[in-house]
Amino acid sequence: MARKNRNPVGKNVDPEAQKKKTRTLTLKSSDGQEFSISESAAVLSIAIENMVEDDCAGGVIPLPLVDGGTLARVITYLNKHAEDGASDEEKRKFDEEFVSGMEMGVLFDVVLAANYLDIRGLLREVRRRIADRMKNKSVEWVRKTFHIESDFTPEEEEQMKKEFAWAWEGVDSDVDD
Amino acid sequence: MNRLAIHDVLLVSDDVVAEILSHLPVRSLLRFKTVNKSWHDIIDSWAFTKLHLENYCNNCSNNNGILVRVYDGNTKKWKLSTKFLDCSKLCGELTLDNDFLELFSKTEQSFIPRMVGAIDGLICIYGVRPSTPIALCNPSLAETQTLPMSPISSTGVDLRNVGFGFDFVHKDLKVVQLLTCFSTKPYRLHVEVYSQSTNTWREILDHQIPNYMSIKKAIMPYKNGSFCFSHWLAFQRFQPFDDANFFILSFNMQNEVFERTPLPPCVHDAADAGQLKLKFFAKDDSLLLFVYPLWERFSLEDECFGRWLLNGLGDKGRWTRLSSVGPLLGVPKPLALWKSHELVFKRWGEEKKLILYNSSTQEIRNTVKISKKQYGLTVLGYKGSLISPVIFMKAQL
Repeated sequence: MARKNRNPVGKNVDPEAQKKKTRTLTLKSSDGQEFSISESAAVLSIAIENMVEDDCAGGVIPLPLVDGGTLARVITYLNKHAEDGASDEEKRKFDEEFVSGMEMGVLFDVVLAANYLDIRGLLREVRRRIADRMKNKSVEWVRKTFHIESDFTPEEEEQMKKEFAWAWEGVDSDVDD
Repeated sequence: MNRLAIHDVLLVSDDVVAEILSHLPVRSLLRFKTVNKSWHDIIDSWAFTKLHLENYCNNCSNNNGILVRVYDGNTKKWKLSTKFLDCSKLCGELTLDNDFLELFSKTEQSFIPRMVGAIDGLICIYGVRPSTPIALCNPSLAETQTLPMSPISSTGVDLRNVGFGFDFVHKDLKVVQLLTCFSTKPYRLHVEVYSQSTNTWREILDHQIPNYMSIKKAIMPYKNGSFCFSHWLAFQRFQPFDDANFFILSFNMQNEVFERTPLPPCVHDAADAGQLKLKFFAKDDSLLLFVYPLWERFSLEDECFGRWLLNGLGDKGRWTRLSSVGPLLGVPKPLALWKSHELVFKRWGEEKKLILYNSSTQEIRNTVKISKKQYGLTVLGYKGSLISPVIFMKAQL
């Protein structure tokens, strides 16, 4: 398949876009790890874009709510989505694979990072993946996974269960996957 | 950042929880309402109903389950089965857990409840006799709203057909009933529309429908962009023993205008002569038509189901012939669409069964046993929503 050249020579080249591609930013995670990333990839995060625009970047952008492991994952995602010539189909496939191997805890970390950094596409993908894992799980599994304690009385719980008994049919066993 | 702190953040952020939950089927949501009070309140809120509609219901139009109406010979009542609503597998036995159709069986002994839908998880239940009630229903929530009787329709009407849908511009939920009175000559369809916003019926007088036209059956409604359409298989017959002239009649729920779409020519002739059965399904914003022989089948070809797809309506309607499905031996008719390539069929034989057939791999996937005491089965492809038919639509849209 021929690659589409988005910037034919001498025609409509946005000098600002070119500059963004070559300029790199440094992102600093909560545990002090530093990552460099092209500005064009970094600004796919609305939060980072705002920081760059407000010029409060000053070379290194600290991200105190994102740990190094999670930030590395997020950067992989951003790089792919900023890649020249990557088709929508390629990106969709990448997204699918990107989240498929992640454990529930990692998905939570990524969803929170994507929420904080305001990366819409990633946020949507991860939320959907979490929902997919939860779909056939029991209430107990959900409480354990989300660290939630019930504040219903056993009677209240039983009453609600009775009302929609069909919703409790076909629930998976509580094995973590 | 340690894991526990992250989950604390997640705990306090109801927005994140709501966004995740909005991708779940209603089955899971009804269960997760019992996780704790905060989750219960999130799922119960109108904001969440809308978010869920956007992220789950409208995100992908494939049905995620089936709704089964059946007559239970043991209790002598019509029932709706919720067992296969928002369900990942189709297997086991058909259980009849839901009694809310009793609402109707009390009113008239001989009443056969018919279903049309679904749109956004709602269906409309009605009887063909105008004296029987019409109700809007969300089967997942077991919530039913019976409509007031129309003051106009009750006298001299022989046959009623019903359609329903949203009017997004006027933020209304409408039900349309088409009434035929065969004893008047020339007979003409009488059209009435119910608006939930006013809770009243009104007659549509200038509806451009010719004389001697009647309705064979209701077809599933669909949404096309910002419009909802109801469809029926209709026919015109000038003399009692003439061939019927079949076509699709559609009603735009917003501007309340009818449109006629002819059947594909080769289907049309055979259908008019009564040699073919037609079964329609709504798929996204198009209609999928299955055609198959009415009675005897002489060859393997007769065991196949021809398929046609209709895009657009009226003058803009375009039929495309799709590859046939089958052969499927001993399978009388397709009942519903499920997911992208799967069909629910009824199979007779030693025992009655529902079968799930994957038309792309040609595999029979799962089966549901139907007891000998269960009759009069109809099936709708279904995807659940949290929309309540009881609360006023105006507040909801």
